[in-house]
Amino acid sequence: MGGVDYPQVLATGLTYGVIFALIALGYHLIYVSSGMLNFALGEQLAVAGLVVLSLTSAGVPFVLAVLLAVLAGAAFGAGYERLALRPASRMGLIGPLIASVGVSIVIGQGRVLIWGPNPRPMDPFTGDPNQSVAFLGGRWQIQSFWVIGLAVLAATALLLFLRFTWYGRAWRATAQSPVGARLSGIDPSVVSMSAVATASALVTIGGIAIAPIVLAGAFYALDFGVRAFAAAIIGGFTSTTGVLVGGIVVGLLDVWLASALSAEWSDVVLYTGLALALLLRPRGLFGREGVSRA
Amino acid sequence: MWRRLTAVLATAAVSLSLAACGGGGEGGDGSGETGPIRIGAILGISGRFAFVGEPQKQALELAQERINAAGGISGRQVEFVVYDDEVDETKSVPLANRLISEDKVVAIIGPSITVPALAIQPIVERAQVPNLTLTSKAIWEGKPDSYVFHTTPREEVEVKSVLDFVKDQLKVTKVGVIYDRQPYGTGNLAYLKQFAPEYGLQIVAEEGIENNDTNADAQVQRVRGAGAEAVVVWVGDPAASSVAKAIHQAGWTVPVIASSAIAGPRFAELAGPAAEGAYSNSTYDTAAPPPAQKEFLEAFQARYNSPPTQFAGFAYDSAYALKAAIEAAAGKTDGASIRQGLIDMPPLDGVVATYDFSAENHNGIPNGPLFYIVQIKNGAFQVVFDTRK
Amino acid sequence: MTRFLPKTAPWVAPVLVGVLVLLFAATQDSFYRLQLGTLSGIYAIAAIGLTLLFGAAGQISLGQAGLLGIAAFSTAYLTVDHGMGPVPAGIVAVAASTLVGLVLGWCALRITGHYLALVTLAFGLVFTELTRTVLPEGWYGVPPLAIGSLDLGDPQVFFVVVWAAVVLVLVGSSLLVRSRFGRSIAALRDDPVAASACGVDLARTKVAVFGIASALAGVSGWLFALYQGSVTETSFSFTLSFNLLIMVVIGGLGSPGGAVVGAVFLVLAPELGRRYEEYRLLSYGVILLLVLALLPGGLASIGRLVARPLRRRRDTPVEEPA
Repeated sequence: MGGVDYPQVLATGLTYGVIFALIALGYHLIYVSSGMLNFALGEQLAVAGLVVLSLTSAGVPFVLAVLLAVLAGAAFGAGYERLALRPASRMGLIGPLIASVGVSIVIGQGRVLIWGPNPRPMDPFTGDPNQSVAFLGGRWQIQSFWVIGLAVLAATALLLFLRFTWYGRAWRATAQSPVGARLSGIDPSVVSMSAVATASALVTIGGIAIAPIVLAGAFYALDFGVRAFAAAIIGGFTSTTGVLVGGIVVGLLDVWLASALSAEWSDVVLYTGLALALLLRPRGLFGREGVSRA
Repeated sequence: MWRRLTAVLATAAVSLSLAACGGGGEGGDGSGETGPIRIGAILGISGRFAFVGEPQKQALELAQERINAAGGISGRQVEFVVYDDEVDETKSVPLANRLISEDKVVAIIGPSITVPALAIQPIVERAQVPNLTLTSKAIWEGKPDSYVFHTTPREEVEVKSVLDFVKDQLKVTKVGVIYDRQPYGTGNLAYLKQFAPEYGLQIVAEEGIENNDTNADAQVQRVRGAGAEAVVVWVGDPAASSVAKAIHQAGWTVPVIASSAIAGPRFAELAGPAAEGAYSNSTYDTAAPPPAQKEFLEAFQARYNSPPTQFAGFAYDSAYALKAAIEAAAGKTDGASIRQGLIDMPPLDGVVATYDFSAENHNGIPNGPLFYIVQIKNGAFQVVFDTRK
Repeated sequence: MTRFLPKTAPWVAPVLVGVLVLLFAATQDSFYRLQLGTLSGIYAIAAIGLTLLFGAAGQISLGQAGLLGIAAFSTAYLTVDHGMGPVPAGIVAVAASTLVGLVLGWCALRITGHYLALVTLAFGLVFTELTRTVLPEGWYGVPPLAIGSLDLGDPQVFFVVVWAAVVLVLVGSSLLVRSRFGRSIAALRDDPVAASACGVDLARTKVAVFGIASALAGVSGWLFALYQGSVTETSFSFTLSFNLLIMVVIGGLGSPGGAVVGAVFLVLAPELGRRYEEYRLLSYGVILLLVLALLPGGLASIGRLVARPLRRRRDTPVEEPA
């Protein structure tokens, strides 16, 4: 099993890991505020880059295009929460889960219909597509720094927001006790909708950042989505710190497995590990006890 | 009682409405004397192998236009009924059934990929519908009365062309292979390993990759670690371009030679500067094409504003082969006549090769060297070596 | 949550299905439609299993395709590589999926709800990845169904055989849902605490339902291998697991008859919109969302709505919110 290039594992693993962390953060926000599991975030990630490409090729300046895409993503998330996820909760807690799979199908197929089945290359934010720098012993693409930087920025902004604003406190209150929150005048349905909107925005940022590395609109929604679930499980769905840590862990683990074993077996090991983690410690490393939300 | 009745009546409504609407397909029985000749095609137009199926569909559309403009087949217009099986044999099988029993096609071109082609083989044999399969894996089993024909070269041909080039021109001995985990890659890997010793070459590394993977760092790293002096890539895009990018990123100067899967514009588009210098197999001699090829290349470029990929040529030739077969059968379009027509027709100078079928040999292309080696220079493929010599 | 305790005799739906199916077989001259009909029957069996598991017992599974795949691969392996007859191979295949299903059931004892959904999803993905890594070529040449010297492989005969199996399974599940065990299952979904207070062995019930659902998935996988003649991992992806879920949801949770309707609908519906092939998957997603939002009881609840004025009052006062 010799020959694993650990500095390179760090470079690639950290890049992907922060994206998993962002998506997992999205799952966390939604799960804690409304008890729903959302399968659609992966597809939203895949489509983010395409939206920006279309806007920039229509002449919109890049930064503005990114802002518009993020806003559109958030609006779209709010929309499908209200129209698809909320009505499905009549079927019990499983309804929204199935509905989110339905939404992910709609997004995925819509993406193919609008942009075609072929993934598209996207220029990195700065620098030459094939340039890389040596750092800590590994070769890092310039875009990796953008990915990590943006992800850290987005996550930090969100955490600060949740901790220090009135709205953030309202969200946390709903998370702890929907009834109590209601009694305090907070409308849980608004909280739920904004959770999906925020998660969508996070995922859109991540999707735009990672698109130069993995191509916009390629078929990786399921891969990213499942790994982010693994991250949330390992870290604990109910813990904000947990999902972030989980994301980094899964990113590093995934790349390390692909290096140490072969790429084929790494998927099998990862998914089996996911199943075992669920069975043995569903609440993850940092999660609270007793939240099976059956 | 009533609610069950209603629920089950919903089933009845659906099935009866299907019975009512279009039981038996619209007119145009393929074996009639007038009306268009319908030829079916099952291609992998979307999904993993879209780079194969999409150009083939375009080639058939082009063939339809040109054949009809030149008077059709035996005085009748031709119509290609093209279905997308998404490279999923669960879909290929019903699509083949639909082509035969509803659309009443006289022949089927495709599928493009091994697994679906094998899956529909019993169907076409049972229905006695000639099938020009577009896979490089051998589907035809050697029986003279089979309805399956090949208008593509066997897998070994391309494998040998790669090995020949590596030995003869690159002059190295240690080869690393990055291959598609699907049968397209695993099958050709087996051939690479089988024939490498004949060329004095050694396969030092084998790394699997998924066609849709966009990160090939791990595979490249291990191939490099095994001491490879050349990297053979047997997978389509985006994986192939990811391999090129990973090699470039790692700062590794090593010759890359890829299968014909990438011999089109997309590879360079996706890999950017990392694509420069990569080799591939092509059936087109873009420098000095023979007349039939030149005509096709120009017509395709004019119609679709981009050059055709490898697989398009075979589809185009299949269309013309069927035309020749029906004409050799004096216009008769039942299965047995077309099959005989394929055998009887004179050798066809197609885009890619000269096709000739016989009862004993349903492989239209002779089993010798066929490919040109092309290399990307300044973002476009140029011919650098001819394996036929 | 819709509660479904049926009030009709168990033979009604199976008989109606049987009659319609025979009508269908007699009037269809298109071989293609016949094959589609066979395929919808095959999926219907797995769908009935899933509706019992999910609809009746409230246990979610996103990995049923893996169970079908286990049976299908086992069948292919045994018949092609070892020359076993289709029926003995089928017995082994169904046993294999049932075994794995029981393991999943055991898992369900430890975790519930969303986590169970994720575990079953992971199982389905592990199956897909494992087969892709270890058995990428799959198998071809699975022989058609034959019992001893009796050849049942002819497409028209096989169609009848498959639907006879569907009818049998319908009868069985209809009886099951109305039995005492059936009430245990419903209690498992609706009120586990009260159920165990009444002495229902929840653990055994849960595992048993998983066993039944996976056995039916196994039968489905076995028949699929015989129908298709070739078995590769592409046929058993998450898409299939999700399609089965759609069939159950559209048909109505907990209704075996509804599951059959859902299966037929999902397989045959693309035919109605053939010209719009590329919108097919998109419309599935949209239809699913519409059904979830507007009609949580599925098509079976349409029947209930229609039947309300005609229904005779019985002793069970369990009334479902439409």
